[in-house]
Amino acid sequence: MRTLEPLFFTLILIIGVFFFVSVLFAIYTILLKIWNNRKAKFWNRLEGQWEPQVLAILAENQDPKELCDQIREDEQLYFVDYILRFARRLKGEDVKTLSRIARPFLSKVAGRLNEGDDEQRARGVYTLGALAFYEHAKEIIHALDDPSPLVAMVAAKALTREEHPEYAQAVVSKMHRFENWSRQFLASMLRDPGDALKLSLREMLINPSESLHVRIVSAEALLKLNDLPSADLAVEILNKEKNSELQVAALKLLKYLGRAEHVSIIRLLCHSSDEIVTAHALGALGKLGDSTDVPILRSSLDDSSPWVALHAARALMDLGQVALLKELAASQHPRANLGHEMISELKS
Amino acid sequence: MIGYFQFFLNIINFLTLIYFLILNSFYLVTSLFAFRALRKHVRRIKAFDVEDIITFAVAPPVTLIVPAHNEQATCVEATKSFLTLIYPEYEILIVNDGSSDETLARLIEAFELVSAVRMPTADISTKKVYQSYRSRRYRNLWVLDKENGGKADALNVGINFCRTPLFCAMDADSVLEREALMRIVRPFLEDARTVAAGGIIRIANGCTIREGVVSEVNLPRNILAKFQVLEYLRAFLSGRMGWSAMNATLIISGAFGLFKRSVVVDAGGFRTDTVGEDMELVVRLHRYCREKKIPYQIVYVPDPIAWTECPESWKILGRQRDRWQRGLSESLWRHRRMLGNARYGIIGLIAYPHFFFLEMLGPIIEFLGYISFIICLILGWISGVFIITFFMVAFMIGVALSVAAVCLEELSLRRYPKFKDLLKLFSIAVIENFGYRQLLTYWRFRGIISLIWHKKGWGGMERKGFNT
Repeated sequence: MRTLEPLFFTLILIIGVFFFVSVLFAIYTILLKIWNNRKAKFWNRLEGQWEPQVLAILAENQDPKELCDQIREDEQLYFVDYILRFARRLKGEDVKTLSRIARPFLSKVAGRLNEGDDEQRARGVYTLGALAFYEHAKEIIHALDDPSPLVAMVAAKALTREEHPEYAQAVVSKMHRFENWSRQFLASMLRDPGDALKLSLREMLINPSESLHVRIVSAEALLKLNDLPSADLAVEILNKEKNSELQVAALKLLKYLGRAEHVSIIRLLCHSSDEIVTAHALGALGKLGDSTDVPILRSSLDDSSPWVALHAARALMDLGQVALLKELAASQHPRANLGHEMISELKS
Repeated sequence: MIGYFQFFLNIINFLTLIYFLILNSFYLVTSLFAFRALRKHVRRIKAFDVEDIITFAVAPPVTLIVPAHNEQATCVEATKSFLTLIYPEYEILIVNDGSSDETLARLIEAFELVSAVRMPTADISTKKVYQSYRSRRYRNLWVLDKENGGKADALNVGINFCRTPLFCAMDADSVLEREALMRIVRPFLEDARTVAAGGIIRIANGCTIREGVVSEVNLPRNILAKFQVLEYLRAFLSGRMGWSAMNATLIISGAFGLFKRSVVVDAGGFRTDTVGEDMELVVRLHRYCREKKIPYQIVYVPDPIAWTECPESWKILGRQRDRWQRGLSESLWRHRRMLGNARYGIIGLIAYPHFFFLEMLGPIIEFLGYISFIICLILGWISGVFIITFFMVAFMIGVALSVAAVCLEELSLRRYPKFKDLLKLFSIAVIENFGYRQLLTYWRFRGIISLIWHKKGWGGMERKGFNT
């Protein structure tokens, strides 16, 4: 029993510690709940006071200064946040009006871009990008070099808004920072129709020293921009490059932006050893090919890969080969159901 | 002889103590990691609004795969909830897994389903698919009627017919919050290496659901369901978020997980010879990606929520926990080469040993520990005061961890708005230590025994339907 005494006292101590910790957590949670509820009521009440005035300002029935003068110092950041939430529901001149309302308090937000944790800096960039982009464009561009990928991405989003396409170039030059982000997501950010941007994207697409990620994002972005000249670059890539992901990106470009003279390279890739390349080549053939390509597509229905067969069937439909698809549907072919599916898609 | 017996019991007592200390140390560590991760996440979603991502970016199309077996009570309501999701492009594949009730008939009637052909895009081996249906009213809703083969088989059928880069494995009795897909897709946008992401499961019992949307969140009235509310808070907020923060997620709930289709197909889909197919797949994905040297990540996201009905009867709950323990044990035993293996990084060196020794074998140690303590007490080989003290330690640590989970909930997601619900959760944190936790240990112990005795199958689950 004596040997158990130290253990016994240790256990008593542990009980005491965890009892204290439990009580502490419980009290903290209760206080947090009370605090959160009070805070929510307080801010709801304030927002209830602000909203009619904001609406009056938007209707030009009130001077913004009148509202701004009511905002206390400890309410300023919350007020900016409120205006930001309001701005997300509106467009055009209304957003400019809201920006003017928030302007007196934005220097406080700008001051946070160099301090605090990643999320705080990112929130600062987000706010400035939405409410005072031109006044703080320099800081936002600088944020592209922030060590935090989150801050850099929020800055990139702010810089690629359609209201100021001239700033998208800054993002394109820093594309290597976003190697881990989704390519589709990155490409969709670059929607600007500016020629300078397209030039940069074409250069990156064709440059073999750029990373695969950057080249593919460039291809996706050029596709979204309907950049016709990039179709020729896609052919150049297909002639020289062996990387299957890059080939797929080039084939997608050709599918929607290519011309009839590009079809020969596409035909070659319909027999690629990579099923995804083959599938996309068949898809492109459906858009750019002609009736002489029907045998290739027909034989691809027998491919062991269901994706290849599916793309071949779709391509046949694109070439107007409905009779062939009906024949397939009525046959005993293992892929007869594909014919049925295409026909029912046509009907719907 | 008695000396040997006493020695044996002392070993068990010692092992119980060590097990207990190590287990709770892990829980404390994961709680700390979870606290940090949740705080960071809440601040992060303010900086990077998910609606902005979805409205202006090309969100990847997603297929919801929903296995359904005898779900006539909830299938229509759950499907309605899936149809109201806010997401730009998604399909719903309900896989009717040989239901013997009115599941298919109710779906056909409610959603105007007609026969339609759909070609598979993968060829994972499954039971026969009889017919595919498409809704005339909702063009993105399909139902696949198949021969009964179990949940994993139904999921594999869904994968075979999936045409999107991502698929979301769901339970037919779950109700997703409307923004849940938007939120769970975030990791895939922020990091293209993401192959799987898990969402949070909450208890729907007691909540009001209208037209597939959770309109009012309440604690359930049933005491058993209340226990499970707290348990799920601990498991998801403290446990899984903590492991995710350490890049060591070993389980994604089959009730709500988003996966990259191509990787799952390459890894072979869900295994049909285990009742823990969800965990088994995640463990296998770790193994597959590491062995093939594919850069990857598997994460938990705390804000996408799926609400699901939990058992309110002791018998059904016991069966469920028995099954979960069997599934866990099967998955861990199958991939035991990862145990302590540095080739698998933090998974092999920390997460796997934790789950293997503490979660899989732990119930055996704990159960034997209870028996041993009782025997020692009766035979006077151990002081009653010591045992009470030991149980008080277990009790206090358990309460502390539960209260910490409630605290995490209040810090982050705050889905239970009523103050009295908070107080109820605190009282549950105390009460559950007098019987409920011990029963859980017994059921988990029984699960391992049933595994050893080669018991298979899911058992039944009573569905009451949502409170509408």
